[in-house]
Amino acid sequence: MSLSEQTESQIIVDMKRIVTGFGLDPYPTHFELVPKEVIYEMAAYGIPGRMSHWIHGVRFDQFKSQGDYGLGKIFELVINTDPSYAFIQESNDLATNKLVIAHVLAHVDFFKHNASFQNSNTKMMDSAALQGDRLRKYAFEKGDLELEKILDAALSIEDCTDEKENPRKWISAQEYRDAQRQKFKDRQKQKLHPSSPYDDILELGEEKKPEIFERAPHPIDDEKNLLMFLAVHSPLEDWQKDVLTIVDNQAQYFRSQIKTKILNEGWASFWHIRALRAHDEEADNASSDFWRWAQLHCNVTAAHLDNINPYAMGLALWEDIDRKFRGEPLNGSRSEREYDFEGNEVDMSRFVGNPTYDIFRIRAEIPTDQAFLRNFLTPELVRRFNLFTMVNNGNDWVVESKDPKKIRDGLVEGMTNFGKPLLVIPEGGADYNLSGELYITHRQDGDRDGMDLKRMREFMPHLYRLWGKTVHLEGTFQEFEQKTVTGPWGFPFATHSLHSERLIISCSGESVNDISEKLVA
Amino acid sequence: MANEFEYSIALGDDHLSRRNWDLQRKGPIDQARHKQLQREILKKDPGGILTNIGNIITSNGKRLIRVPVKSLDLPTPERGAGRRRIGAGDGSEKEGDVIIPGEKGQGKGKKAGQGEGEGYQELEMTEDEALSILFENLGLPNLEDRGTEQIHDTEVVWNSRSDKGLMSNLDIRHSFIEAIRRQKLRGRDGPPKLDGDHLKFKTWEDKIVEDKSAVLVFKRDVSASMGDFERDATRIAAAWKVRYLRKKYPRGVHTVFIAHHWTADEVSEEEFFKHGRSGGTLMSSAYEKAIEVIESRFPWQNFNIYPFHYTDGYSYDEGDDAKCVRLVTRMFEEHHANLFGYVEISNPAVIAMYKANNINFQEGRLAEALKTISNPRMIMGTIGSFPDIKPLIEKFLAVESRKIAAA
Repeated sequence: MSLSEQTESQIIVDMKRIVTGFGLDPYPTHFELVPKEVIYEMAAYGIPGRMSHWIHGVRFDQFKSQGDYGLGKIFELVINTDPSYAFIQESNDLATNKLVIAHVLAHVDFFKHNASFQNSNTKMMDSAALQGDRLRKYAFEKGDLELEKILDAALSIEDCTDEKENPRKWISAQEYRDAQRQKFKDRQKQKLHPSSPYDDILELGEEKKPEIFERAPHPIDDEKNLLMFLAVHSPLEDWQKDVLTIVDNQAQYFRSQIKTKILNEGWASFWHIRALRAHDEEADNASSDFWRWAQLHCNVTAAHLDNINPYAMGLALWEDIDRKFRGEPLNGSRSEREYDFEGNEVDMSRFVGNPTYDIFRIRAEIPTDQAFLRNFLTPELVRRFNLFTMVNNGNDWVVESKDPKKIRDGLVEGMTNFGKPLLVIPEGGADYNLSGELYITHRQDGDRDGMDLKRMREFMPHLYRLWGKTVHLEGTFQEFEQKTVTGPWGFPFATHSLHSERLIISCSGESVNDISEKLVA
Repeated sequence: MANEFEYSIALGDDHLSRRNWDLQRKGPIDQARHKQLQREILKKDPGGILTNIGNIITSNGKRLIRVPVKSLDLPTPERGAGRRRIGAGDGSEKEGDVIIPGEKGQGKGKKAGQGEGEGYQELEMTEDEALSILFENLGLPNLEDRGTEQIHDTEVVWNSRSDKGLMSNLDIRHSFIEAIRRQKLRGRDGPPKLDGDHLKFKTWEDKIVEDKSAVLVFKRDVSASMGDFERDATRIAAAWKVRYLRKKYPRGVHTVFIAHHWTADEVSEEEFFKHGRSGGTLMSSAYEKAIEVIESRFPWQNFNIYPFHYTDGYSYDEGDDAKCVRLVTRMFEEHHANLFGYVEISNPAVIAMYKANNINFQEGRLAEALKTISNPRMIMGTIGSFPDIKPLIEKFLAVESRKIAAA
């Protein structure tokens, strides 16, 4: 073994010991040193063994360009499984790998303990590989193009789901339908024979009441998981339905990570700093400042929603929580006092030792970045990050407000439903016009919420492809309109305005030309 | 740093390994599929190729064109631009400040929001590929047999056999046929044998291929009124026309390039495409120059003649328009021009601006004058924006319908 391999192994052993000493408890972790192309690929696919699709090629190419041109290096990629797999760039130098390895271990600890990951499939790598095999089989039997068409549609819809849903193992269309049926039966039972605490006594000795057949709307109430609904109810062939269930299963696996990005990256940054410091102390090395600099420097481009750097923001939040818990003043804060969003002064003593501010508890119990921000973001942090809200006036994005409360609300609001519009199949939506047409409603969240009209027009043919009959989408749509106006000096120029209106768009074919629009009264 | 061999080490509960990933190629394979899809889209909407005349790079003697194409994306549902976004700055921002300027708020810059799949790739293709995507079945209309000065060129055609030749040109099939024939003549049975004296070889013939000779006379207005759009439109329209015709008639096509403002000069091809702008506009100078060149070097008896004029049509002199009409009529009557292509390039926004400012000019006056020429070989067109270029080229070079129109 060469010197460098030996040292990497040693770092892993050291860091494991150090973070365990801090109280972290990760899954066993397999570290893999890989060429940078492999990291780009893992980042593009999300998990090894995932199916081929051109969209992964696009992401691979983007990561590769960013990485090769120095615009954004990916240092590591961790897979949420037990044991966990961590891919590290083989070209990282030793100094970097100390940081990276500590960072990785903290990530794995988060995967193991956070509420959003309970019930996550710990053998997802194996599952993804098996799913990939099935998809390859379909490609072979039915044709590459046929599979690609279904995947195009399924991948476009994959995030149309219930954001509160927890991870689950793969279920077949059959199982999903059985679960829906059971839900329906329970509701019927509840309506017809409302239960009471004495049911078990009352039912003794009584004859079974006849089951009453009642026509119910389809679906019986808002259906949020479009993919699984289509897997059960659409007129697709069995193999195509299977493709939908696979895409749904993989998407929900990744969603846990998407909705905890700030929490997780902040957690990992928080601990890698401390681990490095501890490691340096052990080695009698006084270069901790370099690590802090390295931490700030790394991953600059991993912008999450709207310019929020999850590493920086997450770290700031965890540090803030921790020092409040331990009663420490913030270094370099403008004043000793803190204020909440209502402008009232905060009594710092109520944080000290308060279990709500115990970071290990938070790591386990706070399930989303939204909740994290809602509970722990402070006006001081908003100011420190120089945040502001912005809106589009038709031509430019302009600063709207610097009020911390509006900013906090804007941040949280922007994260609802993964930042996407909420589409549901409402009661009766699967039999619209009593002719089996599909009706989808956009549940608007706040008066600024609307869908991008151009993009939704491209989205509709995919829905049609899966449903087979006309599909309607009612909601608020936004688009830019160009006008030519004469300016103050008589020169004409193009200007834009932002147009927002409530429409129903209907698609009865597989192309954008088969789409018609209608205003909603 | 990196060394070559693989290893796998257990470290308590954890593990470290390093394997060979040379065969891992999923990313590039899926990216290749993406490029294929981009190419298909480009075929349907080749506007991006058209405006890319500047990107010719010579490599292996083949010219390459690099066309920027947008990355494809899956149409996942997205919120519209009415949504509220969060920005991060340096603290100096105030309410009302413009953060991302530009059309429809899609500006570039560090403060831009996350790019959702908005990358560009450069698709490479040869000039031939680009031409075959852009244009089909076009050619010089009204081509006639003119005079004795046709260009002869030889083309190699593999269409005959001989008894002598190089082994690499062996015609196996006919060699066997010959062997069977000889065998039967001698009354022998069994499989035929090839012997070195009676082999057949493929050989070629020098075929004389002719193109009718033609001269394309490009006249370009480089006066001050031709702005960036007008200049670019001219370059694009003329360049693709030249390329297509050169490819289609590799032997017969001559070119003449004339640039004019107040006066006209014959220039080299390179200069024609690079010429800056200056001066006023006297259209007739270009036509006079054209006639001069035709009379001295390209007499109509020996050449098909195709003049094209690219201008914004802003002529300042009424008398000059009449002169132009006379000159064009001369081109048809004395020099038997096969076609006269007049291209007026006008940017509607600029016209509106001139009007709004009461700037005195007469747009399209030359066009009005030229319309009085009632010869079916007089073809006029306008370019208001880049998408107009391709249909215009197709109009000028449409071969089928011209045959009927030529009187």
